[in-house]
Amino acid sequence: MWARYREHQGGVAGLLVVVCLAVLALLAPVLAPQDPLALGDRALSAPSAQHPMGTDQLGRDVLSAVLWGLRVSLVVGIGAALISVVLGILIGAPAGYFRGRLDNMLMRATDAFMVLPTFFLILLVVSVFGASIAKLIALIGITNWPPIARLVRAEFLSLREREFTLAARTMGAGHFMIMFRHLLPNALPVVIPTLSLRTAGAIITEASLSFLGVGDPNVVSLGQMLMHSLQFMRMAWWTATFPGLTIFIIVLALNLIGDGLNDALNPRTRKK
Amino acid sequence: MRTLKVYVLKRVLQSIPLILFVMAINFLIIHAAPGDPITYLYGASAEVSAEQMDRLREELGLTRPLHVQYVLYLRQLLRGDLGFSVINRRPVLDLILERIPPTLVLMSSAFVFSVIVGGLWGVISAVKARTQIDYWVTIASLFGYSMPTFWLGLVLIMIFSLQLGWFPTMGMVTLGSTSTGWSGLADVLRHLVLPTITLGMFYLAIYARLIRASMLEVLGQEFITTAWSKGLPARTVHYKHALKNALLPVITIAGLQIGFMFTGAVLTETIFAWPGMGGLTYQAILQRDYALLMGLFLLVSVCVILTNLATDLLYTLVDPRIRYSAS
Repeated sequence: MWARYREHQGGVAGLLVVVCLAVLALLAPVLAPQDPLALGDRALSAPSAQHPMGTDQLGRDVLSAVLWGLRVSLVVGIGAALISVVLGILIGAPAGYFRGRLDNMLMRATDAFMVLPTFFLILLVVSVFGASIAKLIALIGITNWPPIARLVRAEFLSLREREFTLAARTMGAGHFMIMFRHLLPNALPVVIPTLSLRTAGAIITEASLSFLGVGDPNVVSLGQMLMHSLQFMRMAWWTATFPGLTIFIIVLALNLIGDGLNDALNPRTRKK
Repeated sequence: MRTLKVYVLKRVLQSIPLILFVMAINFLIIHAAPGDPITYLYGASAEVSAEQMDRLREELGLTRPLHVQYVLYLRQLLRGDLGFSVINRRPVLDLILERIPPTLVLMSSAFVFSVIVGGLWGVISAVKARTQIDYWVTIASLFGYSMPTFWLGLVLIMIFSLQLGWFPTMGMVTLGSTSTGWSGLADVLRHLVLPTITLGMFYLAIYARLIRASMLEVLGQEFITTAWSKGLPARTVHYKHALKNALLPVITIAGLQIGFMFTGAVLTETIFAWPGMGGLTYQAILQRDYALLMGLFLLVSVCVILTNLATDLLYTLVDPRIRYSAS
């Protein structure tokens, strides 16, 4: 599989970028030149040796804030994506496996969730109940499972007709065993690429929420930095440029990984 | 023809539980909020006296069981009463209604832009598949859909407004301008350029990718070979035969995307101070105007559900191959 993934240049580049950024984010406490929340005496100073990305309106070091913000983005992105994928499997698998009435019911629910303007819903819930990192992860995760559930269901619908399912059944395996031991591993090739794409989506959602001022107020976040930069763009381009560029690069890299994984894992649907 | 009617009716009826579902979510959020709903919706302002709050409690039937309250809430919504924004001292519905036209202008402009430009990219990319042009178009669309909407807006402002001074940074009309007619329209159009690109870019990229894939699939089919062997010119084959068929799957996606465009509209309108529903949403967040936020969520949800319905119906009309099962 790695051999096939390696052929996809974009995927390899994306993986490299994400690994580098993840290491930077992990090492933020060590690497950040300053406490990202520490007020400095020089507000809105241009990038210099001392502040490679300049300082913001309160004199805080932008580079330090970007490193810490990256950490938050990745945690929220990965956490939310994992929740979506797990929920998608838990709902899509039985729907495709058992078919019939259960399938009908689960898919109705999925369709209902699919048309909800999820961003508005999160916005509403977060502004009424307040935001924290954990809440954001949970909310973004919970609202984004429907497309994954559909994907898993479609995969299970076809896998359940295959010979190995029949073989497992004749050997006396229970439904649970067949679904998760036998079918799920075979469905993973379509699920794994969505993990990467969902992470990218969740990172954008979190950044959008904090851009609108409803993110977790207690942590540094890239979206929040951009929100503040809106007022100072005229005099300080760096406050708007670096946090945004960081989000763009990580999302781009994750999308590339998703495409690469898709090509490597599902060679049949590969673009000729 | 009868089956078509039954299908349409069935599809319309299916939307009703969805709308009730959205209303239930709204209702549950009000009730799960800390404190009782009245304090929550109106308590933030000193404008409402304790007496008035008691009367409101009575009106909403807050002392009754939950399901009765839900029915009361539904009845209130059906009367077109989305609640009252104490902060703005106006009914929520009025506040939202006057903000709809600017949002419609922005969204339709972004939609047309993304469909036309994205479609063009996709077609060129597919016709020139596996060439340099295809490669660069693919990379451009990858960039397009990885770009966070709000950052794109900021970058466009920094380059085209602040540096080059080509376009205004905010609003829908020049402040204090009284021009009407053509010059007024030109003014709006100038204000519309950057928000349109900001909101449309993501969809443009998606359509480019979709149409490319869809075109490539159609171009491999037999009727295209037939068209070629009849000696038809490339232009006719590509545009009249292939594109027409390749557009079908795009309709469904486009319908779904219009719903999600509201999210982009909130961000775009916030950046460009566009006077539509998105700007109103941001204002509601800042002012902690929960009644208004809930009204917005409800209305946007209903719009999304209706757009999906319209797309589905349109699709069945456009594609005669679809068999509508009336069962």
